[in-house]
Amino acid sequence: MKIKNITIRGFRGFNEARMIDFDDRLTLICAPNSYGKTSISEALEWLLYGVTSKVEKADYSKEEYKGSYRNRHLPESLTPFVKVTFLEDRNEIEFRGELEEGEIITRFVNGRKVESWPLVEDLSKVPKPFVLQHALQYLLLTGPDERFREFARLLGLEELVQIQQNVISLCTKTDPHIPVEVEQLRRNILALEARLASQPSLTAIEKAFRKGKDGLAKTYEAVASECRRRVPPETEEESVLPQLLKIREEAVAKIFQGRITLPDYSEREKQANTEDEGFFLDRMANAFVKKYTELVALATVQHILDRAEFFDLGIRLLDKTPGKCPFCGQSIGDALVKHIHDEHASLATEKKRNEALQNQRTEIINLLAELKSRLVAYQTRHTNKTVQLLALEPSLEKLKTILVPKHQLHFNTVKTAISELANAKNKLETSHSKVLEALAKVETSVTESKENAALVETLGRILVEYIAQARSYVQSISGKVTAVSDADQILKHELDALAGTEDISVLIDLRERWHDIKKKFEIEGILESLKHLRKAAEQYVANKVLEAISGELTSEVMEWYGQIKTTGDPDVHFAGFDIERTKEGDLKARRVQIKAKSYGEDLVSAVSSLSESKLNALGLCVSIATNLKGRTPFEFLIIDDPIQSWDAEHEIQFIEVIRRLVEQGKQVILMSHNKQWIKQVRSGCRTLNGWYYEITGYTKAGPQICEVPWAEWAQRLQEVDAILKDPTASSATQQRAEAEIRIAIEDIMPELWRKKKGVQRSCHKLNSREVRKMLLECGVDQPLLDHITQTYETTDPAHHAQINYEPNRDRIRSYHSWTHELAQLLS
Amino acid sequence: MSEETISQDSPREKYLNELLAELSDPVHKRLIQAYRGDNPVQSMESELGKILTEALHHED
Repeated sequence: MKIKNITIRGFRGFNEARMIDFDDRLTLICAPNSYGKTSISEALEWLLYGVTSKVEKADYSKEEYKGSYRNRHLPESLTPFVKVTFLEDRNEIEFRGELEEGEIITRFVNGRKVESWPLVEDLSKVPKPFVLQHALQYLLLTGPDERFREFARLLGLEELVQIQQNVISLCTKTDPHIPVEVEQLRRNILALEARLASQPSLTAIEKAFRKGKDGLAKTYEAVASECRRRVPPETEEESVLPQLLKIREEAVAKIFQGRITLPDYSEREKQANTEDEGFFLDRMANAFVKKYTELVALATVQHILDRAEFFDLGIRLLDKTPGKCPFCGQSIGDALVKHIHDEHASLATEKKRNEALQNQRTEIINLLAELKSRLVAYQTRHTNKTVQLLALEPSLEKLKTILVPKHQLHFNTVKTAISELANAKNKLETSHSKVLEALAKVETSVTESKENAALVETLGRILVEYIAQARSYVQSISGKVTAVSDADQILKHELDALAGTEDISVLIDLRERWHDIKKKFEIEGILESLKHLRKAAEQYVANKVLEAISGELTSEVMEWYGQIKTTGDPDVHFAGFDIERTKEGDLKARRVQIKAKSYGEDLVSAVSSLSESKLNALGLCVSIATNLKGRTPFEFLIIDDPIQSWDAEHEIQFIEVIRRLVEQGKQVILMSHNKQWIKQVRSGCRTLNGWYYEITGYTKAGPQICEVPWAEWAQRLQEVDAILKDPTASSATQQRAEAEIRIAIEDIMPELWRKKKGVQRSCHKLNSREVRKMLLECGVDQPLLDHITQTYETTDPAHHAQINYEPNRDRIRSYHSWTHELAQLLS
Repeated sequence: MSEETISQDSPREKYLNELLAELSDPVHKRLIQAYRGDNPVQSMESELGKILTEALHHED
């Protein structure tokens, strides 16, 4: 995809709309600083990416960058836009981006609004086709970590870096994702470990315990031996723990009885709550209400059923006494008998239809029974949670004497928890009673066939309120579990201290919680192993990036860098890319290193060793190499002010780089403030004969852009003269002479047009018919007109492409002479 | 999807399969296999939660 032209209005330095055409190989734009040159590359970058690198690299929240895209002088009524015509396989595609309020871009392709550009799935995954000074500095002069990310972006490895970041995030921030019950277990065992460490009599156990999973067997042995020491020698093994418990309980009970217990909901209980609530809300709200509503309809036809039964009986009796009323014995006529039979048949049909509905009544009764049973289980699950804690309420004063003043905070926590949870439980019970009451009414209505839609609506509403109440109750408990558990540990500690049973208490806990201790070590092992996962991910990513940067990329950058290097340079140069390593030889995560050598010796870092000009050259080479590497839809490259801080020799070297880029098929758009150097570029790339613009002034309306001939026609004709005089000039050189003649004609034509017509006209990409027409309109006489047309036609590169075409020195001499004759008309 | 690998449709999946091949710890493999969707961190965190809960309830 190449660029045919760009039109910019109201964006950055551009106010009034300006269109710039681009050569398909090389376009040069020269302008003094602040004349809007960079606005052109920024406009294209913004169009493609919706943001410019300059703004992206800055903190976009900064006020100073807000509104910086819109030109201050553009009238309020106008919308800024950037429009680019791209060429892809000779087809033109127009991209237009309009700058909306809030720096938003609205995209149009060939006039149709689109959400994203139809280029590649994700533009951020291919290198940006821009070689920009500030971007280069960002790449090299930034820290190794930022450089790593930037290299990954340039090489299309962002997904890889994202994986690494996500794995690191998982492995380093585990705490918030540990399930509550797992965390609770860890905390409890840690507290037990601390208590164990505070008991001098249990040092042997503590020592083994500290060895973690590996010391488990020894810890168990030490615990068993210590426990046995505390009980009478004749105690059976299975009686050791009960014996210890008895010793402790007897001692502690003299001081206080009870525990501060508030168990949180286990994962299974949470699952059961979710399932019950789903049943209450979904199943009851849909299936139940539907069935019940049908029953309401059924109730309204009950009288029909009653009548059907009456007629049924009547018919059976009538069969026994035909022609007489079975109830009063009076004679009845045929018409009445027929009416009775018809009515009976009609009611029998109605009855059958309603029998199906009757079955629903049974289903409803079953459903109500299930609802009731689940409601009771749900309620019990909730209320059981607080039973033990609330039972402490009468003992609060006693508890206070143990915990206060040393543990005032914990006491307050318990007191507040009891008060708040008692309140929450009361509300929940009231709500639960209301649900049961409403449910009973619905049940009665069904069993008594007095269905009423209002009853089921009330039940639904009360049920929803009850579930909300229950959820609030659950939250209230979960918010207090940790603090209450801490208080319980404190109480236990204090009681043991007062009763002198601290060591026995620790031993009991070690025996009782042995299973939990093993679990805790297992869980710690899993969490600890995440370090290894992190390292594995980091090493994998670092190896992948190393593979990408140290092989091909290094050699490609080296090759471009070699182009810019001059023979007079001190031998202090870029020596490749690498990933920093640890002392053990592992790759460091996200640390891209730029190596340098000085006269064969490795330097610490290129960034600190290379001069600014060499770093600049290196940045250019990295950007160029990554742009030529891998898949990209862009065949163009925008190079903005590349030669800052270079000496003349390096500037000349870079012209060759530009030539090579064009030869490799890149459309290069080069911008510079250095007019002298741009002149050298035109001279060095004379045969490319690209387009050259100078921005000659800047006003409120925007930059004044003028198209200037690529080279002086006189200079071109001198070059042809020199070739003609050189007897050794090759066929290729002579073909170049023909090309120079053709371009010289293109340069002379606008001047002649201006002289004769008084107006400017671009003469790029003319054809011989247009040349003939222009010559005619300029009043050129017939013989010269024919000669110039013939010259223009036969020096066409397409003409050269004919099989066995050979340039002819005499013919070139004639072309040269006729072109001189044409030039004379300018004087 | 097999237990060991993740389907090979995108660079992400290619990288994840390569990383999986370098892991030997079954817990680590499970975590990487859980890397999916628009919020892979959340998906892995949820898997870690499951692994820890399983360890808690696992009977010897």
